[in-house]
Amino acid sequence: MKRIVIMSTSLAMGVMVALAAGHFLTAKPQLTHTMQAQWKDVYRTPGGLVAGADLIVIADHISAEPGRVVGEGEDAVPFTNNTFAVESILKGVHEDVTLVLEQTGGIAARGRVFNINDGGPYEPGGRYLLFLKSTGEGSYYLISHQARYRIDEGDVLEGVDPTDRVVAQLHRRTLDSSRDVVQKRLKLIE
Amino acid sequence: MQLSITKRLLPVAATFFVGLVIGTGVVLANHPWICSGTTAYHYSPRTVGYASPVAQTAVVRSASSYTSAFNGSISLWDTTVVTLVNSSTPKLRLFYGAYGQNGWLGLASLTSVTSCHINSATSQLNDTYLRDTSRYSQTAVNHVSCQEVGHTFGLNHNRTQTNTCMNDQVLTAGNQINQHDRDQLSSIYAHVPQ
Repeated sequence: MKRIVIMSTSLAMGVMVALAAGHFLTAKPQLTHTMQAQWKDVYRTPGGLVAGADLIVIADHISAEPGRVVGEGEDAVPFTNNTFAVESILKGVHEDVTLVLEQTGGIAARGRVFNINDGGPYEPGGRYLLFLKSTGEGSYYLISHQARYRIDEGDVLEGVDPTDRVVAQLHRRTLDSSRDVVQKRLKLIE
Repeated sequence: MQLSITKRLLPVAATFFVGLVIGTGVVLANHPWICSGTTAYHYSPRTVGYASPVAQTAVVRSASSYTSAFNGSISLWDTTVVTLVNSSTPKLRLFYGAYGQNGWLGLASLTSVTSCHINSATSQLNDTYLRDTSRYSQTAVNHVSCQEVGHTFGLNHNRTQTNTCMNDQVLTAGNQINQHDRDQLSSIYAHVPQ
């Protein structure tokens, strides 16, 4: 009987220690939140993504500024205006040397930060291949999680979500070979 | 004497270790929408208060299209291991509005989280796009609504099956989830009290 009591106590203590450790490790107040979007345009092929974009650019991130807010108080949806320096245009027309990309997410009430599942904040100074749509008001928005690729030092693309079938085909490709994909598709469209 | 003490302590240490493993398993329960490490976002307890759908801006599509979509989603998810009750102090709030040309039809946000426990969440439907009734049927609106509500329980997208609203590559399932979604929720909420 005594042995059963000791064993049970040991088992319970083990569970409690593990739960307490787990709680201790994750009990920090969370300021950064992720948002999940159902995107309007989700493509089956990179060609579809090319065809659907108003503007395809290689651009360097310059700055991020708080943008418009829809709704009030705790439930308001914040937006962020990202300014990019345009390095080259693969598709579309954009006259200015910079462009503004409006991104859902940003700083909300009580200092909370919301990042949508398009890769979150852009890396300052980061170089990107972007597939964009026009808002009709001079700025652009990212088509979806399929449309954003960080270009690393070796000119290799990093997609946001390589489990996606389109991203998987561009992720880890070189910039040159990705340019080829875009150019071939554009020739087909013409 | 020393050997005897070791013999006695060994089973105690072994059972402590088993307890440690069980507890760690609970802490590290795997889940598609990951909060930290391998721990998923989830409500606790699993009875979740929700508020009836509210417009955040004026809309063009009929409000009843959005409210019926959300109400259908609530009824559907209520058939899983999560219990949903209309509440004056809700954890889940449902909105529709014209959020502008931003690329998304629907959005799920976990607006307050502590230690991976969801304190409050919102689901939003974007009338800027969904007002186009020639492109977005009621089934499509239901699909988006169902998915955005589903996210707030800790589920991520399901891109391998089309008979669920958690698939973000199609909009054809409407207010429909499958056994995989139910199993995932059962797994996530296994350790969460009712």
